[in-house]
Amino acid sequence: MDIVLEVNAITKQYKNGRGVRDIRFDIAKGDIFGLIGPNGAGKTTLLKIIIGLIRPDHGSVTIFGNNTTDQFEQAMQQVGCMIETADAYEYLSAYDNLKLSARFYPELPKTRIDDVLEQVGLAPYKKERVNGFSLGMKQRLGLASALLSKPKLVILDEPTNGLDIEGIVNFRNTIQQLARVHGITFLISSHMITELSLIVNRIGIMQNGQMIRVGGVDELVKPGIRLEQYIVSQLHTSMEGDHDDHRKYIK
Amino acid sequence: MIESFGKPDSEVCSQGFTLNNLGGLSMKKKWMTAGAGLGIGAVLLLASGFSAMANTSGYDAYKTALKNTKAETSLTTNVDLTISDNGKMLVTGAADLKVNKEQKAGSVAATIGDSSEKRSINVFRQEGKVIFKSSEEDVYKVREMNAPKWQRNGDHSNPSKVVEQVIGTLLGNIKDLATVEDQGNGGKHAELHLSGDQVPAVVNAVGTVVVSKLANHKNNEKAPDWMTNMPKLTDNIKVEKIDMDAEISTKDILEEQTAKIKIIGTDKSGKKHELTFTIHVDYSDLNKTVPEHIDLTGKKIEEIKNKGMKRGWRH
Amino acid sequence: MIIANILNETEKLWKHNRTKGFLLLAILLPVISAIILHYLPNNLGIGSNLPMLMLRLFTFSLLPLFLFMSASEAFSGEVASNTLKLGLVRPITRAKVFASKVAAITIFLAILLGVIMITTIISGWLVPGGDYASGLLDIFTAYAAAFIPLMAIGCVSVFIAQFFNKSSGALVTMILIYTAAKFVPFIFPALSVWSIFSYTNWYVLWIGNGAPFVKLANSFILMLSYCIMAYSAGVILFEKKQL
Repeated sequence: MDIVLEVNAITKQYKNGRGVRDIRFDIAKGDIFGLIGPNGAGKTTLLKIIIGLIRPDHGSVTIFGNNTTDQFEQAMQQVGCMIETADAYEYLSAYDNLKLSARFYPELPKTRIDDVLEQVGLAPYKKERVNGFSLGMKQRLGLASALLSKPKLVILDEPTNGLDIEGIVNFRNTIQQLARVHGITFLISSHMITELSLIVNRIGIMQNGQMIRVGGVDELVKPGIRLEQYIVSQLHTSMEGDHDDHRKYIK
Repeated sequence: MIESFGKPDSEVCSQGFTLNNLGGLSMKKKWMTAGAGLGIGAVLLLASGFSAMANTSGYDAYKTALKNTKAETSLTTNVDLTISDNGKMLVTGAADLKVNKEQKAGSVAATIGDSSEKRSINVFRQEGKVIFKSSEEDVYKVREMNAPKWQRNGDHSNPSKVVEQVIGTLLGNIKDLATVEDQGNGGKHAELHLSGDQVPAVVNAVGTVVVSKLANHKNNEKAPDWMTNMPKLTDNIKVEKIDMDAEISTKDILEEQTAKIKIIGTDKSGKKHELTFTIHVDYSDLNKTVPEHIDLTGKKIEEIKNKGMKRGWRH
Repeated sequence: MIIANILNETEKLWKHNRTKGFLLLAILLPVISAIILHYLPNNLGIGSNLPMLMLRLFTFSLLPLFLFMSASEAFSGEVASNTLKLGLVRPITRAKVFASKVAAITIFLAILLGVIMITTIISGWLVPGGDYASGLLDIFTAYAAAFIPLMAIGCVSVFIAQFFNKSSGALVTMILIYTAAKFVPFIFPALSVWSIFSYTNWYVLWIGNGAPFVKLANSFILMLSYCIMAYSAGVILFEKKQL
């Protein structure tokens, strides 16, 4: 099994006490990995550390065998991502936004921008400035930007935010097709597991800055139990565990 | 707390920590490069800054000499002024200024005119009075000393310091064009030569206004000949050259200084003119100047009020 | 990769209306000044060196303002609009992103200076007395020399921009620092040697007979040291930025 992404003992502590602690997991080629947890669990922080926007206090991240601190360019060569809100240069058109990104990948064919806009359903609006876009349209542009370079690893942070039902279905289909046909690996975070439960094959559950469960959906969830139910039960057990620890400490 | 479902990866994790402790090789190199940049930059800044400060420019040398000269208790200043048009002399003027601060006395003997006509004025400061005598009249105008504060008060270092700083700042980098040369005998020669585009726009504007003002006297019948001879420049007026030179003695005192300003332009008929203003100042008799003294007995005297002073200057 | 990002940064800067506005000013101000001077008596004596007059005006005010605005937008502004990360997650190191942003600002600085020079020379012919065919070399030298202190001011602005997550805060701070730096020499003349902001008209040292070589080299090294320090410190801060 080819390891695409390795996260090794990542810790990042903020002054306000938040952050992520001792996170370790890896993702193999072809996985659709769902990073799941409530708001504020540290998902975005973790993803930002993975793609180098935040420097961790400890630990390291390796993508396709390249350490992101020392070999950033090589590590990111085959990564496409959309982090936090799907922002774009508001004063540029959708097409021009992608044109900027495309310059980093000289080997891409010229038609690639149009193709990817078509794929996310933005082709009719490609000449329009982004400042007139709705949140859903920006989200789609963000996805297009992540997929533009034909990456082998795609990292998406809350990608379904602002998408309507049709958009969510399209999104799921696109992801599934890319994973099956092209063998693209996905790391997708969400606090709304329902949208992802149909497509993920591995999950990591985060709570309070820690990864409380990591594994294949088949391994973790017993037959007959829905993924949502499993996740909710895990979050609860973990919280009770915390309470127990707390009580012990007081005694 | 953490259930690991994947393979045990203690190896990987220890490697992770090691890498982090080293900070990563290329990271370290990055910080070192940036740090080295800061260091080299700081060294260069200090070196060039201090060398710029130590490098006494012609401007500083001149400033020091001027201050020292002003501080002398007595000295004689000879001022020569000439204005020529296309090489033809229009006006010459000369003034002998003798000042003795200890005696609170001073005298000025000035003449101005061209080859055909000369006017002169004498000013004496003595016994708390200022006395004017023009060659036009046979009257000595006497005025009680009631000079403005800054004149009466010998110590006017403060306003002059402000002026000095303002001038220095306004000149900006132009100061750096002033050079100073050792003359071998211990004396120095300081100079600031500006030509063409080096002349600041402000100076150009002032020069133009002055030249057109001088020529405006043409319509004034009372004006002396030399003023009517002044060509009236209408177009393409430009301060073409400003040469300032100063000789500084071994004791850092001005010996002489010259300013030469060349203004070009054309008059209504399209004739080109080249006006040259030359002012030469010579300092002598340091600490041994005795101002001229006038004995008013038996002479025609006219007392004037403060206001009258201005008229006295205008003849 | 750095070439790709220089193109990107240049394109972004160009697509900003502000940049086009500055370019328009670079064309309009010399033309308008030439027209006004044309109607003033004797052109106030300054018509004859319109290129130098405009260079003085632009290096004193508009070009620093352009640098302040561009630097605060390229760094602080992109932090505020969450767009800085768009470039940072591409296969390019932060050091290269930083370099290409500085390069784009520099490219536009050079373009603006070039445009101002050409329009002043052309519009200067409107003004009678604008006879400086012989001074063309001087004009070119002056404009080229003026680039150096502005470049250093650009680096300093980029450094200052690292401290702000909003372009307005960065811009106001830069303008305040600049104004203060222009006034301080009136009170402490000795400081002007050290302040990069007092070198904006050092180009006068290059025209005509020029200043002695030592003087030129001295000033040049001082400005260079400002560039190196501001750039290095800027890179460090940019590398440390957590987005």
